[in-house]
Amino acid sequence: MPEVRSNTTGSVPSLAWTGLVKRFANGRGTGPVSLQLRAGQVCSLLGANGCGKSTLIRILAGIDRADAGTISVDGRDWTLGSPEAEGLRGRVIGVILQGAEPWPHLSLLENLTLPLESKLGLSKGEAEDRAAEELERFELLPRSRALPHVLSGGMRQRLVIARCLVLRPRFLLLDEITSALDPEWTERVTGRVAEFATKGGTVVSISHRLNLVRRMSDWVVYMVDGVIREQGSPERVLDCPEDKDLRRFILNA
Amino acid sequence: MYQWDFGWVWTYRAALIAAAWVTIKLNVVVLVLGSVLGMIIAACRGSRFAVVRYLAIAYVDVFRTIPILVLLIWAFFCIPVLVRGAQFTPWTCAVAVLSINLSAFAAEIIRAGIEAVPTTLVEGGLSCGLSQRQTLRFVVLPIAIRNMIPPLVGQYINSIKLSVLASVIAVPELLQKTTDLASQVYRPLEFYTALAVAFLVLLLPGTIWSRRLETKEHVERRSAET
Repeated sequence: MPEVRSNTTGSVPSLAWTGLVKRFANGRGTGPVSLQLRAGQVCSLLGANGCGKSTLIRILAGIDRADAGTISVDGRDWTLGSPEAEGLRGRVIGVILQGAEPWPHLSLLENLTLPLESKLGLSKGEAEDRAAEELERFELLPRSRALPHVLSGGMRQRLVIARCLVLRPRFLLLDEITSALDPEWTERVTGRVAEFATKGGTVVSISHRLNLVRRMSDWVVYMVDGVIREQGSPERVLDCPEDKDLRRFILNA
Repeated sequence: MYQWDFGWVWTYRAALIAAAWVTIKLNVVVLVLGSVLGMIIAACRGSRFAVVRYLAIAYVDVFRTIPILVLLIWAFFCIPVLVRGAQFTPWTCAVAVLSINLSAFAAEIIRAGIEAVPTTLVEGGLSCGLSQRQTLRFVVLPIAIRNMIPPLVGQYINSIKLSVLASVIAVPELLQKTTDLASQVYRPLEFYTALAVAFLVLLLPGTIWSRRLETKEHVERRSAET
């Protein structure tokens, strides 16, 4: 077991997971991984392709089921895959998985109103108002009635981010959400995430852009073969890495 | 040079219209029954129970493989010998065999349509907190149905064309009546030409429509992926 280092100052961690393990048939997988995050904290996961970052996000999101381990939200343990945990997803825990795409058969507006109506139970009118507001923030409102396939890749990624944020979650699990964005939008989305954290939101994010990781996060976790190899503040981990694999990883970036 | 005389066809128009009506009725029943049966088989293929899944796969493979003409003849002539007292009317046999044949192909089209829905879109539904049921209803099925329609229309047209095979067990449909009249008045060229033209007129719009659906869907899907 890797050591569980607590980086929480408050008494109750807002998002914590203990001993999460997931093994695939080919023997690869993730875990055991444990971590505690307090409200307002932005944690970035670093690591080579296939090191288990995305798997960890998918488990935390409840999309994949872990073989073992517990997840606690606001100090309450959630049984993995239980109806209560399912209820959190989307509404309390915002999730954007790697390669997420808008729904191609729904207009931009409908892409946002569907979860607002189905998950939050808003009326059509309320949902449309709130969706329009969010589309405006991502400069997608003029095309709200169009289908997503007329959009560029970056615009579609913005739409996916809007679809997540419109539900106003308190936690964000983000897997490479700026991969298709231009520098300006990368900046704006990073700003949105930072603002989200300032208001007490907790974020777990995967990104391969180290300058982004440095500016956005206050805790960095470096993973190798499914387990945490090194973790700490961005300055500590990125500027004076102890692990030699991590040193090479940073050098190559 | 052959002297065409379509007057004969016109003379027997009442009998031909009656036969066309049989063909239309037969096909409407087959399309409905075959589609419903196809959905059931497709659902069985996705069952939690392995036995049900394998039975559905066996059904699809068996009925896609046996030539429909063989099946028709077998159902009409062999079943009464094997099972005492089980003599079905030509109509019942034709409906059953054509529906089963269509359902085997339709089941595959439905399954493929659902499987072709990208996982990222399904997970998008779950990510936004939709339940499995809501994801199925609002995300998977609408996209899957769009995937299914062009190949299903093609399969329907195919099934309609195959329905003339019912003539071998004396269902009084178009081909059977045409053969009958052509030999009675000794005018096969006129009658079979009229039959070919009739099918062309009936099915060409459907064929063109199915191709247009395919290109439109194709273009939409391609641009959605880039």
